[in-house]
Amino acid sequence: MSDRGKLSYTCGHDGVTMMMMKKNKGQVFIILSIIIITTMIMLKTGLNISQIMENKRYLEAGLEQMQFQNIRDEALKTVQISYYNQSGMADNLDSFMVYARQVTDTKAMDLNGVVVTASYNHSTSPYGINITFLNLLGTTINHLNITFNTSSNITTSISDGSIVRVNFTGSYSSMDYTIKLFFNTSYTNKTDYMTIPFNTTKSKMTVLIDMSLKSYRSEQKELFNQTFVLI
Amino acid sequence: MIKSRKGISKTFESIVAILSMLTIFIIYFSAKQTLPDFEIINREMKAFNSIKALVEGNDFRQWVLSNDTQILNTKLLTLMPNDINYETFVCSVDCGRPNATSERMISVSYIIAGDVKDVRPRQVVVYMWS
Repeated sequence: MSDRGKLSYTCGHDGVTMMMMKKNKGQVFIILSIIIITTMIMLKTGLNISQIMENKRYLEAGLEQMQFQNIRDEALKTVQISYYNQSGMADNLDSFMVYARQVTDTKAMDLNGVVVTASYNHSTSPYGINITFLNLLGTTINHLNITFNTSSNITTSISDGSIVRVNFTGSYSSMDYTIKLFFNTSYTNKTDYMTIPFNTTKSKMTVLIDMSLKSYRSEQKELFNQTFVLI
Repeated sequence: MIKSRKGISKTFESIVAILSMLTIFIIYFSAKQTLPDFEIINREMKAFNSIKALVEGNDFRQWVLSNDTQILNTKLLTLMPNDINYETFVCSVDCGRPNATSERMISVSYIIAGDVKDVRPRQVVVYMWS
């Protein structure tokens, strides 16, 4: 028995298939090529590159969100660690925010916003509400109007990085007071409100930070307001 | 005659098969689309979270204020992936760079407000390379 006969005998259907393949070599090539092409196209279609890119962008935005959170947390930490130097609390916070902007600049990110502090000492009479306003918008504020109780103060042409200091004096009682901050630049008008929970037996400082961190990948924004009880 | 015609048609069919494969391969796969590199962002996230884990401890600010990068490197050892080299720097704005020469050097920074005794902010920068 020849080798070919052995193969047909032992393999049965496989042997017949092999003989047919030998007869139609050309067609087998075409069929194989169609199968390979179809497989490759299916593989490429399954590999959704745009979805993978989107996932990557999502991860990168996540890192930037964590960096934004880092700045927010450490800004509040600055106020806490200034507890024993209360006269410098607002200055320390402003210095921290200016520093954070310098650092983010080196990483091709823009940290913009305004930082406002309002503090009072309950032991002085009449009460004085000290307000500081730091412009970190990256542009000049043309007009700033700070309104507290029935008084208001208008400041014009506040350049980027400048601090405005305003003091409101009066007889206040234990209740929540609202400070209205209206400012406009060449491209935006904005109004922020901050609440001071005034208490005639406790000195307090309220911080408002309205900031955004922008990069070519994402933009993070947050406005937060926190009150600290002073000694 | 018939045998040689059959041979020619088989050769022709195989050439058609190869050409069609090549044509489709070139048309469909010639557009340059590289897969995004997740390695960098994964390392950055890992390093950032490692620093964050240290920040939650009590001594971290003290190490940063005393510019003790050696202890920072040691503490990060258990938190960072094993397959990468890293070096920690503490600075104000412009940090130094490690002496290592690698084209794939990346960094991640964490800002620290300071402490009760010293309120000057600083940043901890972790450079990574493989």
